[in-house]
Amino acid sequence: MELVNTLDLLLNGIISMLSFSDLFWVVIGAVFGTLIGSMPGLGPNTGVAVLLPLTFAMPSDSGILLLISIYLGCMYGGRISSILINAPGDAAAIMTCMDGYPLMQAGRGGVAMGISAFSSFIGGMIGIIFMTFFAPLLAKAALAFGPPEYFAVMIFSLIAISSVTEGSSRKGLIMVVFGLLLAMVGSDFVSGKARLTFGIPYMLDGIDFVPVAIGVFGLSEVLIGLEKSLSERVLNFSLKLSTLFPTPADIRESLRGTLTGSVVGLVVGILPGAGATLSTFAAYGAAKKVSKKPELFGKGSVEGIAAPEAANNACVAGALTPMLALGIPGSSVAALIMGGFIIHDLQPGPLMFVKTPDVAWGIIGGLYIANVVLLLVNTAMIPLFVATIRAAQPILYPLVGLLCVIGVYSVHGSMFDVWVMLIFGGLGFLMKKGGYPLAGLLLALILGPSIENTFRQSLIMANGDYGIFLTRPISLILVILTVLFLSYPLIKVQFAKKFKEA
Amino acid sequence: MKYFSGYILLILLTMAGLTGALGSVSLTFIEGALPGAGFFPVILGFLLALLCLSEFRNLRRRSTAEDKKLDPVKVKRLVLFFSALIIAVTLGSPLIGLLPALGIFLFLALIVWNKLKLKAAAVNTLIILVTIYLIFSVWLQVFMPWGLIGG
Repeated sequence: MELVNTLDLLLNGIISMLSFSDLFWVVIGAVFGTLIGSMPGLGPNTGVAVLLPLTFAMPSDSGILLLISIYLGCMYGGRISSILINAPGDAAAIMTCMDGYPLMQAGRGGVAMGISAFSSFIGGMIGIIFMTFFAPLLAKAALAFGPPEYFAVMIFSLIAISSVTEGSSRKGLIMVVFGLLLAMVGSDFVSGKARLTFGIPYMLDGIDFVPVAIGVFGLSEVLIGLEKSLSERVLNFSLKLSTLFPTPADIRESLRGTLTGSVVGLVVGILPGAGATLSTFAAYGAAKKVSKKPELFGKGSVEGIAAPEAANNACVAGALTPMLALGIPGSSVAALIMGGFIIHDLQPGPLMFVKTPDVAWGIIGGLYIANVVLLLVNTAMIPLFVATIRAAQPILYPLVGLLCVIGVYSVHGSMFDVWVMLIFGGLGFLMKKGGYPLAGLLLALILGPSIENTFRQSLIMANGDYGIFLTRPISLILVILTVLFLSYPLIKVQFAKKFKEA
Repeated sequence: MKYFSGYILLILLTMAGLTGALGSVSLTFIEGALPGAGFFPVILGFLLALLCLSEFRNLRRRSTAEDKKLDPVKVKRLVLFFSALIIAVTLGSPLIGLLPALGIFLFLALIVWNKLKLKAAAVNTLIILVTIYLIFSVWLQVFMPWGLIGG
């Protein structure tokens, strides 16, 4: 009965997203997402951040669908430059270079494109199917959560994101604490007192996440790109379009890698902060282990290209599931998309499935549509992408810089926001160069007000007893997990010492 | 570059942490048994400063000679680009309007950093500006500042 009900809701969701305008925005998101993803250096963070302001004037469902299509499109697009020139579109496409470029050199670049699009589709679909059945269950369970559980789960997510992401966990923690401090700027919602505003009236409403996100993900990427000389920025390649479509034998050969990558990507995607990059590394390793021809990995293996591509697409649904069901994003891109939800007055979380099920199921339905559209776009339009990448390269970075300024200004028509974006663009550059993970900063900025709110509510519930977080089973488990994640670096060092001694 | 970026960032974040904490000490820390307006800013500010200070030590200890290399050409390119963007926003926008100021910035950027020829840079700039105008001003109805030329 539950299954029939879920399928019925899903069907309604898909039908509601089949209007001309929604389909139009899905196609636009798919095309732009793929293009942005295919530009070396620009990934889903930059793509979603820079194009976020465009969605403000749209109906909420079209806007959210556009953002999700861009996200998915970037994951598809990252493979294009990996295969063509051995330069990954983003970090999640690094492993695609391993076998994609050797295939390209062997004159089978078209096959690599086709196989990677197919495995991206399968990985994405497996992830979305999981989301369809798991997100409502998670949301139902979360309905029983009170403020202490929410506080504990948010703190756990932040600590997990700072421990699991690349770089040292201390750097991750610095980003989280900085993000939380930024979230405290503005009027205190209980006393109404101004905090950390330094007499600047614009800051009374707090620091908006859009200029911060566009600065640290968009403008900083432009600055990173400008470090390269012109010859490093211009792409030179040729692709035989006659070999664009893989044969049934190629697809059969890739299936094992696709399925392995999908499962690994999904599992890793659910972990807060683990992200698409980690999932592709894990998927590549796992696919090599289960492959019948592991010796071909790194030399142009079809399985080797299928596994990471399936993983980074399965990871998308994994990261979006906690955002939709709990209101807690699983990655920095999911945090950006959640910002899009908030701007459209939508609050992701368990109540979304109860109060506005049409929106929740519309989004899940939209994911199915977007994934199908992306498969079509990424097989039929490859020649167009290749031509566009070639044409856009000479003007790319100044253009993105200009879009960052205009995009931020367009949100509230405020030059103050532009200043905030410029400051965070500079800071984002320093953070990236210094090896600081940015996901925690953004997640903390978004979750900060809720963390403070639920902390206060919990203490009011417990008459000021701070032990409330340890007396309720779910929050106790989450507190224990948080402590484990916090002490993980110390445990790692101790293990390494013991290992060395042994 | 990695070393210097990390160093500058840590100085800025330490300052932000201390400013945040010290700037909030005048706010109520605990009200009854409940956290007041200054509770989180004070704790987070001091925690940020402490974490940054401990990272300073780490940065000095673990940085390699490669991390400390600084390419003056790259630094010059970055500083010029960033300064040009800031000038376009702060000076250009109030004088000639945001779009024209950014147009000049884009035109110069295409010539200086992307080595486009004058004609190609002008055509690209014009196409981009018209597209942006149509999307943001006409479609999204965003009011763009037109500076002194706009009255």
